[in-house]
Amino acid sequence: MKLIVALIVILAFLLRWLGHDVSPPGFTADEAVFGYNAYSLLKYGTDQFGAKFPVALRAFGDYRPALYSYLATPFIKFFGLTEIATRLPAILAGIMTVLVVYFLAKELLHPRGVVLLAAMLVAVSPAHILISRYADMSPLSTLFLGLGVWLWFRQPMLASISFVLAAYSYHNARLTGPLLLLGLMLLYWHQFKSRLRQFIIAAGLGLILLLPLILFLIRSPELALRRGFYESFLSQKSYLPRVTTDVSTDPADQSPLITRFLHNKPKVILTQWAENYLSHFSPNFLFLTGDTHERFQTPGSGVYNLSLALLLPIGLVAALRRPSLRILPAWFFISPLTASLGLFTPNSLHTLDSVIPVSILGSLGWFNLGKKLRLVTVMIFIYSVYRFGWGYFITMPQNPELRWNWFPRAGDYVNLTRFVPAMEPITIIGSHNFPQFYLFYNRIDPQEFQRQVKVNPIPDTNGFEQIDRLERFKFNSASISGWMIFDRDSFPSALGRCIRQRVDDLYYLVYVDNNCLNLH
Amino acid sequence: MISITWSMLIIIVLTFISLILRLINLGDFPANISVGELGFIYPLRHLINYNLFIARLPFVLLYTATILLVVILVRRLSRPIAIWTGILLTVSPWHLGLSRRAVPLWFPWLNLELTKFLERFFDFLSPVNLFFANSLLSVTLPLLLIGLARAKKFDRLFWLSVKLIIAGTGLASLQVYFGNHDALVLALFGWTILLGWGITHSLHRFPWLVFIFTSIFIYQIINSLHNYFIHLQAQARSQWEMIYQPVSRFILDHQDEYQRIVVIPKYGYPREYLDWYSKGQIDQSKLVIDQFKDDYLNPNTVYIGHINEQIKHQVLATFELPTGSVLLFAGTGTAQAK
Repeated sequence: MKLIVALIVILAFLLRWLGHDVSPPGFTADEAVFGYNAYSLLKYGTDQFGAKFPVALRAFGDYRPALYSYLATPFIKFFGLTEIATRLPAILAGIMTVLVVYFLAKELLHPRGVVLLAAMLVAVSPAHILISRYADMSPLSTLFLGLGVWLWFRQPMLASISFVLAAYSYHNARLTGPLLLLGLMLLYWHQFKSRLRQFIIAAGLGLILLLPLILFLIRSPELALRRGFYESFLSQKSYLPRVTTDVSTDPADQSPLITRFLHNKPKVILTQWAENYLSHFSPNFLFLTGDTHERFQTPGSGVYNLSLALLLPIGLVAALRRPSLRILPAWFFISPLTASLGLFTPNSLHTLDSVIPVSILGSLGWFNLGKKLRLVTVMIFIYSVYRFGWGYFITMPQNPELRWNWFPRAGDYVNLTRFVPAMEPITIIGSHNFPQFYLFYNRIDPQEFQRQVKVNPIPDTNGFEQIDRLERFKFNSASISGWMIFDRDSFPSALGRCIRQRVDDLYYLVYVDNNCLNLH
Repeated sequence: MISITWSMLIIIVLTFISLILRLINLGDFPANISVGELGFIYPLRHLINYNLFIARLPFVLLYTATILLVVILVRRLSRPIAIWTGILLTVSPWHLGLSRRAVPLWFPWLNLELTKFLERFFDFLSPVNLFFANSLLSVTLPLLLIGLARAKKFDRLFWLSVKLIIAGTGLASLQVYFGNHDALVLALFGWTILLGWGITHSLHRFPWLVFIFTSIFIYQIINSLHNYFIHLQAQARSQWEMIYQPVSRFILDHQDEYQRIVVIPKYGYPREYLDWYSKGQIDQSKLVIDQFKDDYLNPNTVYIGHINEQIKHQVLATFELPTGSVLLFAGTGTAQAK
C-alpha cells in the first residue's frame, strides 16, 4: 500500500513539476507580485511598498493575503528570484494535497482501494494540476483546509493551526473554513461533545493566531475588504439591471404593492446568488468545458476528470446516506458559497478546495458502481486524462490566443528595454504594462522601488492601483512619442515603420519621431 | 353511486386549474407565432379558419392529458408523490410553455458528434438551466437532497424518474438544433416525479419544514406564473415575427392601389406569415418576395424593405414591433427618386 501511495505522489509530482518551459505558456503579473514581494520580505522583511511583516500585500492595491510570499522566501533564497522558485509553494502544496486526501479518505473510509483511488483522482485532477502549476494562493488554502478537516478528527490543536493558515492564505478560506468547522461540529456532534475541552482550547489558540488578521480587519477594513468589494456582485450591484428590466415590462396599471412583492431587491439578490451558486454544479463546467475564465480553462477538459460525471453523483448519494461521511457532500456544497458572491461564476480557482470532497466522493462512487460500468468508466478516465494532457501541454502553448492569457515571454518583453539608450524615458503601453515584470526580472532593489515609484491616487475601474512612473518608465501615458513598448493588442499598425525590436508577434519596441511617422 | 376520494378530488381540481392556466387568452398568448408553430398550423389554415386558438387548443388538451396520465400512473405507486407531481406539472412554466404552442414534438435527427452530444446533455442537466431558464421551482431542490439522504430505499418511482430524465435528456441532446427544448418533455416528467419524490420524502421526515417550504413554494408559483404571463409575453411581442402583423394590415389597406407588392425576405417566411395575419385576404398574385432591385423603384410597386434602405424611396409607412423597434418600411418609387 505504501508503495502505491508513493507512486501516486510521484505521479502528482511529475504532473506538477515537469514541462514548466512549455506550459503554463507564460508567467503572469500576479505571479511576479508574489515572487517580488517574497524577494522583498527576504531582503528587508517588508513588502515591496515597505510595510513591515505584513498580513496582506499591497501589490496592485488589492491587499492580497501575504502567506504565499512568506512561503516562497526559502525557495527564492535558494534558487534566486526565478519563475520556478516563485511557483514552488503552489507546486508543493498541490503534491501535499494528494497526501492529505489519502489520509482524510483513510480516516473516513477504510477500504484500501477507495483511499488510493481518491488520492489518484486528485493527482490527475485537471483544474488542480493547472492551478497548482501556477503561483497562486488557492492551492495553499486547499491544502490547509484539507489538512484542517483531517486533523479535526485527530488533533484539534493542529487542526486549528491549519484552519488559521488557510485563513491567512486566501480570502475565500476565511468563509469556507468557518463553515466547514460548523459543518464538522454539527455533523459529528457526539465526537465534538466528547472532546469539547480540546476543541475549546483549540479555538482559543486559533483566535490568538488570528489576531494579526483580526487587527488588520479592524484597523483597515477598507483595505482588507477592497478586493471583495470590487469582485462581489453585491457591492458592484450587477443585479440592478434585472430589477429595472422586470419592473419596466410589468403592466403600467399594476399595483405598486404587487410590483414590490414580485420584484424586490432581496429576491433579485437571492436569485442572482442562487444562479451563481448553482452554476458551480453545471456538468459542463465540472466535467467537460471547465472554467469560463480563459486562464483557468484547459481546452477540451473540465474542472474534473470526465469519469467523475458518472462517479460523483453515485458517490454523493452514497455519502448522503452514511452519516459518518456527510462532511464530504457538505464540503462539496459549502465550497461554492463564497465563490458565488463573485462577479464571475462559475469559478474553478475560488472553488479549488472542492477537489478534496469530489475526489473522495468519486472514489466512493466507483465502489458503488456496477461491474459492467466500471470498464466504461476506466476508458472514460483514460480518455479524459489524455484530453487534458493534450489540451494543457500541446494545444494551449501552441494556440496564440490561449497562450496570450498567460503573459508569454514576459522576461523577453522586459529585455526589450536593454535596446534603449540609458537615461532615455520609455513609455509602456498595453495590457502588459505592469511594473511588476520589470521589478521581478531586473531584481530591482525594493527600497529603490519605494524611492522611485509614483502611484496614481485614483484606482482604475476594477479597483487596482495604477503606477504612473517608475525610474525612467512611464505607464498609462497617452502620448505617442519617443521610446515605447507595445504589446500585441495595443500596437497601432501605423507605427509599423517605427519598430526597432520585437519579440515574435507579441511585443514591439518602437522609437516614434517625426522622421519615422513622415515615412508614411 | 360514485364516491369521490380526496385524491380524485385533487386530480379534478388540478385538471381544472391546468385547463384554466392553459386556456387563458390562448389565441393571443404567446403573441408571436414561432417558425416551428407556423410550420404546423399553416398547412391547416383553411381547416382551422386562420384561428390561432383552435390551432393551439388540441395541444392544450393533449398536454393537460399528459399531466393526468402521469399522475394516474404515479398514483399506482405512491399517492403523495402523484399529487406533488401533478401540482408541479400544473404550475410548471416549462409545461405551460409547451402546452400553449401548436408545435408537435419532432426530432430532427441526428447529432452524432460525441463532444457536442455531451455538451448538450450536460447543458440540459445544468441546475441553472433547469431551475432558472426552465423554471423548475428551485425551492424543491434542497428537498430533493434531503429526500436522497433520508429515503429508506430508492423505490421504483425514483428509478423511473431517473430513467426518464436520462432518456429525455439523451433524446433532446441528439437533436441537430440546439435550444429546441421540446424534446426534453420526457425529462420534464422525470424531473417533476423526482422532485415530487424528494418533497414527499423530506416533508414526511421533517414536518417543521412544511411551513417554510409552503410559503416559498407559493411565492415561487406566483412569481413564475407572473414571469410566464407578463415577462415572457413581453419577450414574445418583441420577436421578429410580430413585424408581419402591421405589415399585413398595411398591405390589406393598400393592395388595390398597387400592381405589385414586394417584401424582402430578410425575416423568414414572409408569404406565409402575411397570409396568416391577413387571414388569407392578401392577393398572393401581387405579392413578390425578393431583395431590392432598381425595377422596384416604381410608382406602381410598393416595396417593403429594411428600415436602412428608406432613402431610395418615398416612404409611405414604417413598421415597428409592439416594443417600439422599427424594422421595416413601405415605400414607393417616384419619377424623381427613379
